[in-house]
Amino acid sequence: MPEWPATRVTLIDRLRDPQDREAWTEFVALYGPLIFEFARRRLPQDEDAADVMQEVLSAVMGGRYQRPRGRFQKWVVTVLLNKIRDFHSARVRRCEVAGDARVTDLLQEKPSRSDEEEWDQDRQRHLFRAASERVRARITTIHWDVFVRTALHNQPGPEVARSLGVSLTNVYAIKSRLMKEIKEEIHQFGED
Amino acid sequence: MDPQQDCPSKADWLQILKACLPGLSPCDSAQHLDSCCHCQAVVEELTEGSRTWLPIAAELRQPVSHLPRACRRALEEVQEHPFSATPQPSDAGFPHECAAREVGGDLKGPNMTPCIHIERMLHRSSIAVAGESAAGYALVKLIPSGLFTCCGVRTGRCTPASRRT
Repeated sequence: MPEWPATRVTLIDRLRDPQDREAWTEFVALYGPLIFEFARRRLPQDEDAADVMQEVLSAVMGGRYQRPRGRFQKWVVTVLLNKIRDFHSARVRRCEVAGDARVTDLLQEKPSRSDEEEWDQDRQRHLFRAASERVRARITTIHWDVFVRTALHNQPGPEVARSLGVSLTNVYAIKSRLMKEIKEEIHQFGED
Repeated sequence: MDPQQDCPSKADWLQILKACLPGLSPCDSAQHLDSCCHCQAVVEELTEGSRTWLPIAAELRQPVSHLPRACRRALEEVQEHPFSATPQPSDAGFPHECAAREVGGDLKGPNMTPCIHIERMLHRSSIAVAGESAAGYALVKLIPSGLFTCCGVRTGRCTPASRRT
C-alpha cells in the first residue's frame, strides 16, 4: 500500500507526471467523493454532480493549478463553483428553468466566504474519515474496538478492559496510540 | 483516590503508555493500574485527548454514508481513464483568472480549435456532446442494443469496452 505523501501539494505535483498512475488513483479516491458531495448539494441530480466532479478532476489532471498563484484548496473550490455555475447557466440557456429567479440569482453569485468555509469543513471531515480508515486498515479488529469504545464513545477503561479481555494498561496504550496515529495521518494530509 | 507510596508518577505513566506494546504480558505497572483508582484517573486524563480530538471523535461517531451509484461509476471512469479535457473558462480558479472569465465572457485563447467533444458517460448511460458555445448542449439517450447508435449515426467505436470516443 502506498504511503501518503508528506503533503497534498506533493501529491498534486506528482499528478503532473502522467506515468504516476498511483498519484492519480490516490487523488481521485481522496478528493472525488468530497467534490461530489459538495456539488450534489447544489445540483438537482446525482448524475449532474458526477459530471461536475469529473470536470473538476480533469482540470486537476490537466495540470491547470499553478502553485505560485495561490493555495490549491482555494483554486479547487473556485473551479468547482465555476463548474456548478456553468451547469445552471447551461440549463437556463436550454430554457429548462427559464424565469427561475433563484437560478438567475445563483448565476450572479461569486464564491462567497460561506462557500469556502463549507468546503473547508467538508474537507476536514472527509480527511478525518480518510485518516481513521487508513489507521483502521493496519490494526487488528480488537484494537479498533478498544479505540472506538474508549476514544469515540467515552466508555471507561476498566469496563472496556473487562468486556474485551484486555489489560487496562493496554486499553489506555491502544487508545493513546491510535489517537496519535489518526492525528498524524491528518497532519500528513495538510495542504499548502 | 489519594496516591499510594508505590504509585508511578504522571511522567512515568506517560512513558509506560508510550512504551507499552499491546499484547505483551502484564507488567508490574499494569497490575498496579488494575487495582489503583488514583492511577486509573491519572491515565484516563493522560489519554483524554486534546481539544483538537473532539471534532475528530464527533465525526467518526457518525455513520458512513455510501456514495450513490452515479458517483461510484464516475469515479471508476476517472480512475480508469484519466483524461485532460480542453481547458474551459471555468477552470480558472484564482481571482485574476476569474476576472478574465467575467469580463470577456468566453475565454478566447489562440489554441482553441473548433471541435465537438463527444463522450460516453457510464454513470448516465448516455452520450454528452459538449461544446455549448458553438453547438448547444445535447444529451442523447443510448439504446442498448448491440452497437450503440447516436442520432442515426452508428458510432462503432463507442462500445462498452472502449467507453470513450
